[in-house]
Order: sequence, then C-alpha cells, then structure tokens
Amino acid sequence: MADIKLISAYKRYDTESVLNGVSIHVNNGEYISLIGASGCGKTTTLKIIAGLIKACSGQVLFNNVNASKLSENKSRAVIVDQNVLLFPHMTVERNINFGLRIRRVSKEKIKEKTEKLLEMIQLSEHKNKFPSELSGGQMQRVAIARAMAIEPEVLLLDEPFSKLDVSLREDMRKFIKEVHENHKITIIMVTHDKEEAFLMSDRVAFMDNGKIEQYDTPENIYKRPNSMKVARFFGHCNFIEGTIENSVFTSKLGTYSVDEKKEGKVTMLIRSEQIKIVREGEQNATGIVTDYRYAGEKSYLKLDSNGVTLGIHTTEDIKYRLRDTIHIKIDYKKGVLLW
Amino acid sequence: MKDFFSKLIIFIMLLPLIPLMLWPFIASWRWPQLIPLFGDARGFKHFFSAGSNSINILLFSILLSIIVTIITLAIALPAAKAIAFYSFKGKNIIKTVILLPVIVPMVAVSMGIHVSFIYLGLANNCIGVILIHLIPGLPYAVRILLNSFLLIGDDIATQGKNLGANSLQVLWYITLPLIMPGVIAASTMVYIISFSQYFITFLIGGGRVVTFSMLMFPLIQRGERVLASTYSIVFLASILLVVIVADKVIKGFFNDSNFLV
Repeated sequence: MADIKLISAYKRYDTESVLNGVSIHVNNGEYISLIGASGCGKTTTLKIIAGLIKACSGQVLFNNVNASKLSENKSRAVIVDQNVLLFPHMTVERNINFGLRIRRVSKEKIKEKTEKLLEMIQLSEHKNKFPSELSGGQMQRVAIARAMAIEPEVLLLDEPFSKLDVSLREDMRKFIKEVHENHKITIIMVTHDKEEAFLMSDRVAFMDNGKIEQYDTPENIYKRPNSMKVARFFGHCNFIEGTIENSVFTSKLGTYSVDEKKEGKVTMLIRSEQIKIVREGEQNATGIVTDYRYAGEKSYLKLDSNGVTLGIHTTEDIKYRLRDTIHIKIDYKKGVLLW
Repeated sequence: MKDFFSKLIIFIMLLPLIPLMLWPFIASWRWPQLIPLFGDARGFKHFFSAGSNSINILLFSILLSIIVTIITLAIALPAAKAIAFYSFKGKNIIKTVILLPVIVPMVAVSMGIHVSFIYLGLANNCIGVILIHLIPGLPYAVRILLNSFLLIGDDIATQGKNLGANSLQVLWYITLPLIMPGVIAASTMVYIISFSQYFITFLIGGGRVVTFSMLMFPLIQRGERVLASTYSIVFLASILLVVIVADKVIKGFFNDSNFLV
C-alpha cells in the first residue's frame, strides 16, 4: 500500500506534448480513475507512475520517497494492461508466480502463494492450462493475480474491462472491487467509460489535453463540474446563458433567484434529467419539440424554448411529434453556475 | 482436389530425388538399357574409405556451419530487435544495407572482400571463411527475426520488466522462448546457406579450407554420377540430421518448465 504523488509531470514525444504538468495525489488504499477521451494522456500518466515511461520533468513519489529514477524492473506499481499480456508459453500457474520466481522466492512460499491466488481468482482447476485455452475474463483474472503475486504497493489498471463482453464486465468489476477491499490496495484505473469510473472509484480525475481538469469524488464531478468540458463529458447537459444581478439569474427562459453574490454574465448548467415534462400549470417554461428520438427505456427530445435549445430525456412512454408544444419544469436549484 | 494438387506438388518436388537415390547403387545404366545394372555401392565405399578423408571433411563442414550459424544469430538477434522496436536516424538505410548481400551478386561482394582479407591476413584460413560465410546468411536471419519480433511486439517484454525481471531475464525467459520458431527458421536457413557455399569458400579459403561442398563440386563437374549422387545424399542427410537435432535441442532447452524453480 502506498500514498502516491505525481508532481507536475511533463512528457513530450518529438514535437508532440502528451502531458502538460499533471499533478495528482492518491491516498493510501484509495481507488481512483483517470478518465478522458483517447489521447488525453491518461495511459501515459499511468505508465509514468508504473516507471515504464520516464517523464521529461516532474516527480513520482511513493510514500513521499522519490521513485522517478528507479529502473523499470524496480517499480512498486504493477500495471495490468488492457491487452492482458499473459506470457503465452507459460501455464496459468507459472504466469501467476513469474514475479516470485524472478525474485527467487523459496519453492514452498511460491507454491503456497500461487495456490492462494488461484483460489482467489477461482481458477485452481485451470492452473495447468495455457492462456490460449482461457476465456477473456479468465485471462484478465490471471493477469490481476499475476500482478497481486508480488504484492505491489499500487495496482494500475489500464482499461481493464474494455476487451470484455458486457455480461463479463459486471463480474470483473465485482471481482476487482473485492480485491481492492480485501487487500486494501491502492488502485489507479484508466478508463474512458464514465459509468465504470463512477461505480468503481473513490475519486475520479478527468483529463484533457495532457492536463487534469478536475479531480474529485464522482458525485462532485457530476454535480459540480468546474468547466463546460467536464460537464459535457459526464452527461447530457444544457448551457443556459444569462446574467446575475442582485442574486437573480435572468435568461431568455425567465428569472430565478440564486444564492450568489457575484454579478455579471454567467452560464448555468442544467443536466438533461433536471428538466421534467409536466402538466399545464406546473411548468416554469414551455418548449416546441424540434427533434424526438426513441431509445427504448428512454426517449431523447430537443426543444426550442424561447430561442434556447434544450435537450431532455424522458422515461415516460409518450410519443411526441415535431412542433408539439410541451410544458417543462427546470430544476434551477440543481443548476451549476459556470463563470 | 486441393489434397490431390498438394500431393502432386510434393511428388514433383521429390521426383529428382528418385534417380539420386538410385545412382549410388548402380554399376552401369547405358542406353538402351531400361533397367540399370546394380553394383556394389562403390560410392559409399569411397566415402567411408580412410583415404578419401570425406568423413573428417563432413564433420569439419558441419562444425564450421554451426559456428557460422551461432555468430550470425548473435549479430542478427540484437539487430532485428533494434530495427523492430527502436526508432533511430538512418533506420531505413540500415535495413537496406543489411539486405544488400541478397541484392548484389555474391561474386561482386566477395571479390572486394577477398582483397581486404588478403591485407588483413584473413585469406586462406578458417577465420576468413567463417567471416565470409556470415554475409550471405545474415540478411535472411535479420529478416526472419525482425518479423518474429514484430509479431510478439514489445509490450509483453515491458510487462515482464514491470513484474521485476531485468533485461537479461526478459530476454531469456520471455523474448527468446516466444521468438523460438523464428530462431529455428533463421538458424536452419543460415546453416543451409553456409553449408552449401562453394565459390566464396574456395575464394577466401584459397583451397586450403576444404568443405564438403568443395569435395562434391569436382565430382559433379566430372560427371561422376555414382560418387556425385552418393555425396549428394550424404549432404542432404547431414543437413536434415543437424536441423532435426538442433530443433529438438533448442525447443527442449527453451521449454518454460526448465526455467527458474
């Protein structure tokens, strides 16, 4: 277990700069996710923590000890790649105890530990099989057991579920959560799936353009994003432009009293689910349907409300037609002001 | 149908071997004889006779080609790995230069090298012959191994390092076992190329370094069919034997269960 700090890491490849000063602090035993679009630098960040890539500048601290200069094979962070990367010429058992054999651990200890790990991943009866004989989920479990065998201080997961079937993902998530809880190990996971990041992690770091835009709990990231970029990434949202004067937010949709002393131009973020379709009389705005899409458990609607385009979704089984006028209630209380 | 054609192709390929197999045992086979007159296998008698020194030359040739193969692999492995995984200036030029001996006729290459070897005192001796034998095999070895490295990729080696193995351990326990099919293919190729060299051995060895193919050449040229086919059979059999033994030894050695605990 370790407390990990990455301090203003910069990384350039030739002319392309991948990381532009990434700093992150992961507490002992915490589970965090690095999330962002492809090419935002999340895997590079992970590999720098793993010691597999050297940052051009910046430091990696494990329990406040500088680990930036350690050679690749001395790292105390083990990475589990999305491609699993099991050694195809070794059996499951020998894959798992590879790190122990390299460290010349005694035969008895290797045997004991391997058996324990095989039990943990519930693959004891497959120990003599080769990776090619396993399913995707089984391979992933072997890879995690192989990483856990050497008791790393931090487990790094690079998109661990991306290559798995949807049905398997749920099992793997549960399994990794169990590993995290039972071993109290620090885990840093890279993902591009927001639901996965929210479900699994204590804190989520949203990365964009080689920088961390926001690093916070899932709830705060969703409910209190600090920029439009963050807000957009984590869900459907509407940005209502307006001004605040004397604690009153005024937009084309009307006025609303807010608990805000600052004055001037502002954008209010309203999530799609914070706009409800209501009966006449209960509304605080009306809109004309400009687009309607049916998507099974919910339907997506686009409305034009006094020149403001609003996207909403509804779970009600009502078929709307274009140019229908509908009454809506915007939950301004949950709105977030983005200055 | 497909099966029939593959059998046909194999048959056509093996067809020239039939007279080769027969000739060592034939005393005479002149026109218009349809069936040859079988004799006493004088070719094999000659091969095994103490005076011909053939067995010693065969063993020497095998040893020489094994040494050439080992040195070629020692050069080709790091070269292929560097070309596969590292980016450096002039990578494409180096790739082309390595392939040059295949493109430029060997005669042209070896004539120039011969002059340099005379200056360096490498002409007319074994070391010179070993060095010149490296040239025709190296391009093939690098090509084959390059593809093997590209096939396994660099990530799996990195994973090994991440689990605590140093570079040497990664090479020994992960990379080499994984590229083993390529290593076997490359070494077979290099061995056969070296073992079959006639001209460059003659040129650089100056007639003092005698290999098995040099022993065969005058026999074939003189039209000594019985002796030529006998020696050809020995030639083929020795290659086959060495390749099979090498395959078994290498595969057996790099079996994962031999490693660590």
